[in-house]
Amino acid sequence: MKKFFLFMTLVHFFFTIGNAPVYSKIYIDVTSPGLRKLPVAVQALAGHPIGNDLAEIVKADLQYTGLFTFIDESAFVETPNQGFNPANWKPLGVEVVVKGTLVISDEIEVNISAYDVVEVKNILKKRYSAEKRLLRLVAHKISNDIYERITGQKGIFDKKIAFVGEKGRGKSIYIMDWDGQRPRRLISRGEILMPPRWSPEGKRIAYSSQRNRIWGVYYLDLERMKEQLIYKSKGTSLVGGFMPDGESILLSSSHKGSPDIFLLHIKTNLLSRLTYSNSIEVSPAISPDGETIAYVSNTTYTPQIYIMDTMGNNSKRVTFTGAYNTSPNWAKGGDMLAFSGIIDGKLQIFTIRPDGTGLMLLTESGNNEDPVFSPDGRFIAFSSDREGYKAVYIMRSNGEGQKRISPGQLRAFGPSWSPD
Amino acid sequence: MKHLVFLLLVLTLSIGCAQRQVTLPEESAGQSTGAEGNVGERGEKVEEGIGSYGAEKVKGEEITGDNTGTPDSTGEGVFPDIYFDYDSYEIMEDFKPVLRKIADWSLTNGNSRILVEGHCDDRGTNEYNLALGDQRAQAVRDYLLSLGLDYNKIEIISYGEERPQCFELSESCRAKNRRAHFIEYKEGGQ
Repeated sequence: MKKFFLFMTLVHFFFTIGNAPVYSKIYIDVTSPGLRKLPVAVQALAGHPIGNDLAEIVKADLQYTGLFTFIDESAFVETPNQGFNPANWKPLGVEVVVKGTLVISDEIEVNISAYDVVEVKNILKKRYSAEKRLLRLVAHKISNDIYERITGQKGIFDKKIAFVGEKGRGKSIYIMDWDGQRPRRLISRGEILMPPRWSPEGKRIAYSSQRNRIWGVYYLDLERMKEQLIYKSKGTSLVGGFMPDGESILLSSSHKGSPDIFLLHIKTNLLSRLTYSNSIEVSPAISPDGETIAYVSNTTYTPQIYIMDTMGNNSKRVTFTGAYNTSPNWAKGGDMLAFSGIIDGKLQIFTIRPDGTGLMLLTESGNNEDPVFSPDGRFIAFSSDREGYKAVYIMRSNGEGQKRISPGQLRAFGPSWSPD
Repeated sequence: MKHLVFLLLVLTLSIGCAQRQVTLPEESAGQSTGAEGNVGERGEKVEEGIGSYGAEKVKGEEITGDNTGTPDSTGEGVFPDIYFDYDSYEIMEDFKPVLRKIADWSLTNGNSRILVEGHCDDRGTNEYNLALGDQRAQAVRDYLLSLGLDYNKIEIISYGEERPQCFELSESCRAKNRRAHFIEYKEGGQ
């Protein structure tokens, strides 16, 4: 039996790509609606005072998913320096315990173990090392591994969010961690700067900017921090996003008259036109499988969400409620769209299935715009003016846990998640 | 000075001629301001190399094309703004006389040109408002064309909700922001 298990494990290593290991227990099925939260204990890492900070980052990551409950530290019997003993945890109702050590010398080195208290086994054992300044990133990587081991799904805790920030005299592209920490201003150009869109391989972002009365599509190479103009024309050109192959960009442009949807092939600079109406067609967003484009059209006199194929054919209206529905964005799997629509005079975030069913209102305070799903589809970043100024917020995809993540007092909008 | 204005006019007139290539000033060339350590109230010093992704060369060339000259600032405000209903780009009857005046002026000043800016109020999303501003400016252009103006004499641009005239959240203030604004260009010295 043991040999068989080992064999299966090897088979798994050779044949499983991406998803949860087939042999391992899924502690939380994130797709299950009547979900029971898993009681978890994350102990301060032994060996260095900062071990506590690191554990707190991991806890905050996991806590925000809404999938876990955390046992209060004051109830812990076992100290961080003691080895794992299930008898110390069972009475507390804990089912998974995370322990580890932290050594800081020239760099940081972390050893992490996670234990299944009920079945008494080690379910994760991993060593991490990095430059000292990357402590938060190390913590996020640990969160990802724990999350994946427990749910079988990839975590997004090491993802970043790019956005437009405005402070003083100009707009700039910023990037911050998913939790809003380590914000960094990358580039400051342009009188008018539209939301950045990340390329599929994560090395570039594209955005539209109006400079000297000319709209252009720009590329920012994140590695060299170099910006390049890749397209400009008369009229307004607005980047919708990259196609999954990274070779072309969806955009709306009014260079031929009313705004229509185009596909810009980056290398050849050739435009293919996808829509031909006299009405407004704007804000194209490609589905994760690259097959369907969601966009906004006012062909029925009010802006509504539509979908069509990538040739611009077979368009279907998605939204029928309300007189102002804009900014569609796809969830992973393509089974859900988020958008921003006006209800009672205010912009709010909704989700809806691409077939037009299952409309859900997720926000209620202030105006809420620019919804973008996280790569795993479990979170939505958006912008809101609920605190009196526009800022970037995050929530779970069911509307729970709404909080501001962009730096306080910085006017911020147009979030975009770094890709998987 | 007169030469400069004339040069600007020549640049301006090149719009609409697809073959005419005017290189963008270096403004548009990629230049980063570089990283900035401190941001916002958190004031966290952030150093992680976003650039630690490994080298990759990106092909991308400077694209040359049309460019707009800087308008003669004395030409702004000669004609009043015209206004639009919420989420509408229909030219209202009240404002057609303004457009007729602009057309008359333009037709009697052979070397004149006009820039039409489309603007929106703050309601709605930025992207859709940019599209709406486009449609407003285009509706104005279409109307001017119907009055006999030459297509190449009218340039349009949308500012969406990015350049409000009035900053309060009242309806009367919003109504002032739903506008088309005009900038006239004339050959210098006239």
